[in-house]
Amino acid sequence: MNKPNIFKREINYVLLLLPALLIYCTFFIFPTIKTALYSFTNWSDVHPVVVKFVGIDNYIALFKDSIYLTGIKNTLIYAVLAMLGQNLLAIPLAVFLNKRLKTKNLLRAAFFLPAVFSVLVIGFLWNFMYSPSDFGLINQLVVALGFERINFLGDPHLALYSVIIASVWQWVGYTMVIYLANLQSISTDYYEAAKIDRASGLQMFRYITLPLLLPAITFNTVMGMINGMKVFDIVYALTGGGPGYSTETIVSLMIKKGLSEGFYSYGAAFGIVFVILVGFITFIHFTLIKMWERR
Amino acid sequence: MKRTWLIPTTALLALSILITGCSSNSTNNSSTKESATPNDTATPKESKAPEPVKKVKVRLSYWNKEDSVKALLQLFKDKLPDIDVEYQFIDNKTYVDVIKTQLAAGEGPDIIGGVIDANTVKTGYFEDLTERYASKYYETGTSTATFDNKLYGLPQASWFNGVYYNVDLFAKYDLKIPTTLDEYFQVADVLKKNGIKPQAIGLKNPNVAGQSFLGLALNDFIGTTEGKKWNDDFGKGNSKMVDALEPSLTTWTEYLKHGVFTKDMLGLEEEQAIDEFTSGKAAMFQAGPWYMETFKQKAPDMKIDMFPNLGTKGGPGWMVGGPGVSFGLNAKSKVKDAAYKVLDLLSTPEGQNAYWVDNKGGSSFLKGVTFEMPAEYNGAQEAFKAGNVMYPVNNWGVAGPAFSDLGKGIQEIIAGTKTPRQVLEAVDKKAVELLEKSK
Amino acid sequence: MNRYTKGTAVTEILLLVLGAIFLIPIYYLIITTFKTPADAVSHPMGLPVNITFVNYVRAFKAMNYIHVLGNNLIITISSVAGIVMFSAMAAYSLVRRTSHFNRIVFLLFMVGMMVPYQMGILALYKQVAQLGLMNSHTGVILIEICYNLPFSIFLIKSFIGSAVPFELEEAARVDGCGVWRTFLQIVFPLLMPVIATVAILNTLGVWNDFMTPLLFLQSRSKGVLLLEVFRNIGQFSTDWTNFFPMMLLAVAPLILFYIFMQKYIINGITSGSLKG
Repeated sequence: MNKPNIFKREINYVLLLLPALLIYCTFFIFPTIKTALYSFTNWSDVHPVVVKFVGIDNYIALFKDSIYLTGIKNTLIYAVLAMLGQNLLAIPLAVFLNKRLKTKNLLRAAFFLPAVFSVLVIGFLWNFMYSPSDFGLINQLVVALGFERINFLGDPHLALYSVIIASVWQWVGYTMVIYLANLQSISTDYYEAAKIDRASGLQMFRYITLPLLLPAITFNTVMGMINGMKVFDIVYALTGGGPGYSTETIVSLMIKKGLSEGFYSYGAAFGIVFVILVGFITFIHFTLIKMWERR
Repeated sequence: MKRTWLIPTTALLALSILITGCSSNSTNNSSTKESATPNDTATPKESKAPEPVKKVKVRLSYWNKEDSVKALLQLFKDKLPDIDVEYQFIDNKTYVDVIKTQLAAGEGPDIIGGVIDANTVKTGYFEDLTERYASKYYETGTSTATFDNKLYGLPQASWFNGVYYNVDLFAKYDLKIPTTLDEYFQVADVLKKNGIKPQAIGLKNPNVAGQSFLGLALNDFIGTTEGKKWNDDFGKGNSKMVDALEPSLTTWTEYLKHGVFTKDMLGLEEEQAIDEFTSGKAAMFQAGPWYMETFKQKAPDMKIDMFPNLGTKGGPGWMVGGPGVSFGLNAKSKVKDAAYKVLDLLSTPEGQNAYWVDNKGGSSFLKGVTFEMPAEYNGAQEAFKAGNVMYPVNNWGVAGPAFSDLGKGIQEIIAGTKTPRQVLEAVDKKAVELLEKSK
Repeated sequence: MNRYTKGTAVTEILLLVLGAIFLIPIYYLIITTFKTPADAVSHPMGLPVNITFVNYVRAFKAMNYIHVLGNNLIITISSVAGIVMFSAMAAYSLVRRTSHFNRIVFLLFMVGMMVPYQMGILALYKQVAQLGLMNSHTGVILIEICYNLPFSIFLIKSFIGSAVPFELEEAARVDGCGVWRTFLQIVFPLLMPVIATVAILNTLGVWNDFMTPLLFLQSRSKGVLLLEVFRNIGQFSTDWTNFFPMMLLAVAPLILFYIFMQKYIINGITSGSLKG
């Protein structure tokens, strides 16, 4: 092949990349860089034009405010528990639904169904179900069973966990489907061999299924964690951050401070800290998975 | 429906060009992106039915549903044939965020309800309306939208909240209308004994929690001469909340001690609380005229009256309230002439009346316009006569957003995780932050 | 490997029971749409006493359904078409060219997955306004494409890396076929399994996103179904039996879509895409 041809080939590869890159730079990279720059200024709703460089003042202020620590704590609790809940339920579900059941397809479709609904709709639906008033579905059941009403969303010690339950319910089927895909790629030879060795079902799960599910586990836990850290919609629909600050998350506080109260640059700084935090957690996550893989 | 397929088809078309063009592709590729753009910008309404007269579109935004301005929009339609007023409802919870985002980007609706404060005015988001309208309105109404003696918004009929009560239930148990908090708790005890919830309240919303406290605080402190001075000083950053309001907030916790408000209610939406009131399960409900239609829909036969918010000392009581939403003109609007015509119409008795029809109860601030108070508010007449209507947050200026922290703090008190003192200190801290930003 | 044994039958029955319990919230949502408020309060789980469609008629009108559905289709179909095309092209290029530049580009895309878009919302808003794309479907479509690119590129790239043999392309190249034709005629058809996954997941994602339309579409006539739902949760809507049909109507087309596409979903999101 001669030189101009190679050159043309390379150009074409770049051209393939170009539309995605252009859109991405215009609507993501560029605004994000701007936001990063803003985080070192005093930009706010009162100083929209005269923007002054203030160094890391915003970052220092951030770590002095206990509300933000509450937000970070809530977000971490949410992300870890929602991620664990989804995966611990989805793996056995996927293993069972990978068996030769007669209603296999129906069941799979049923468990995935909540993922079709908008988070907003799911949020408002659960809002009605959790309600402590007369038509709250779950509380009707609780009372019928002879227990005290549970104040799912109004009790600051419970609200966050109620949100997590709704969220796990919505996404467990989605997570399961990814495990199913992975399970289908595992050759049955392994199991046949194990059967000859008289391995029990549990042993097969422990020594064959689980290690071979590693790609799906990695994918689901990492994505679950990242999406959990970004949580906003479901909290907004269920509790709006309350009662008090008990369910405020990083993103909801970012919006409250950075937009509602007009501290734009402060919100930007919070965003940057958040991205670093997510990056750090993802890095640790991968490291842990690698360690597990080597064992 | 045909337009729906336009864009994907274009994309496929562009794709097919690419397929055939194996060798000469650099030009083709750039056309993929561009061809997508002009086509879908054509999707907006223009291509629909061609209007005989080209209407100017004026966008008006507000946080109440279209139903609450139905008559007003109809009036615009009838009287301003060459203007198409497009109403943009944005839910209360996101209203300020959405509008401020738009304004910060130099965008936004042409006529904006609310959001007019020292900051947004200083930033130049709003047009100065002084010359054209200031003389037409009473100062009591324009004060919330006036900064440095310049008017930036036109106040609509006033709003207020008091305590609605179920007249039949009160009669059934032979209850007297309470005039002090103590009497209120006596009434509440009787109701509770008979298995009726004294007052329904959607405490899930921090704003609702805050309103309840304001009602009491106005009676016990903020409504006094000394209190009013304190309130102004608070907005300027010259006084603290913690010393002034701790007694009132501690008194407010009586609602909790008497079991009128409970932790349960922290999980209750306002909508759900209304259901309790209209179904007769609860006897009282703190709100304002905007819910009257809902009450009538849900319980057409229910007799309702209102008494003012109560304090410990008695007297005529207080209504929490003030001028209604102020409509301002976006300084960046591209259709200012048309928008002025809309505002002109709003500033006529006809316009005021059209707004009032769907918000009965308040009074107009346009000179020469008076509305009759519906009979449902008889019990609150004394408070109105004494001029006891005030929304303290209006004087907080740039520290206004701290009210949401107060509401959240009250939720924390109800939940038992904070003391009144801690809450007020937190609000003070937020106020300082907000004030410092504006310096 | 498994025969249908007694144990399997027991498992199946247990799973069916579990599945039924699992779907109670959705049953509740659907059943309530046919009830009067009183009916809904007195026995929330029972079948409606008198089936009423009044709720639906009212919701249908209140939402301006047909018109708004059109907007939804425009936005969703265009966005998904864009996402699929652009991410497939980009992913292919990123797999076959591993220059430093491309590695950095890929890394940038991956960072995008970690950033909540609310973070740069003001800067993004300014950007969209400057481009004159405010209050236009084009603007929303481009934003949807942008924010769904990273995940899609990630899935497709993993798939190409593990399931598309390079030998095929070599052969095509020897036959004198250029990069574009190789991509479109040889690679793209092979990507169908992962494209189906990407298309389905993004259809769900774009349809169900209401923040972008809320922020970037100001005219009601341009809005989407979820925005209509959202308008009606405002503090002055108290009639929740009217509200439930709206929630259902807003996702009804999506549920239809799901019924038709479910075999692609439930048979497993393409396994090749998991070896990232």
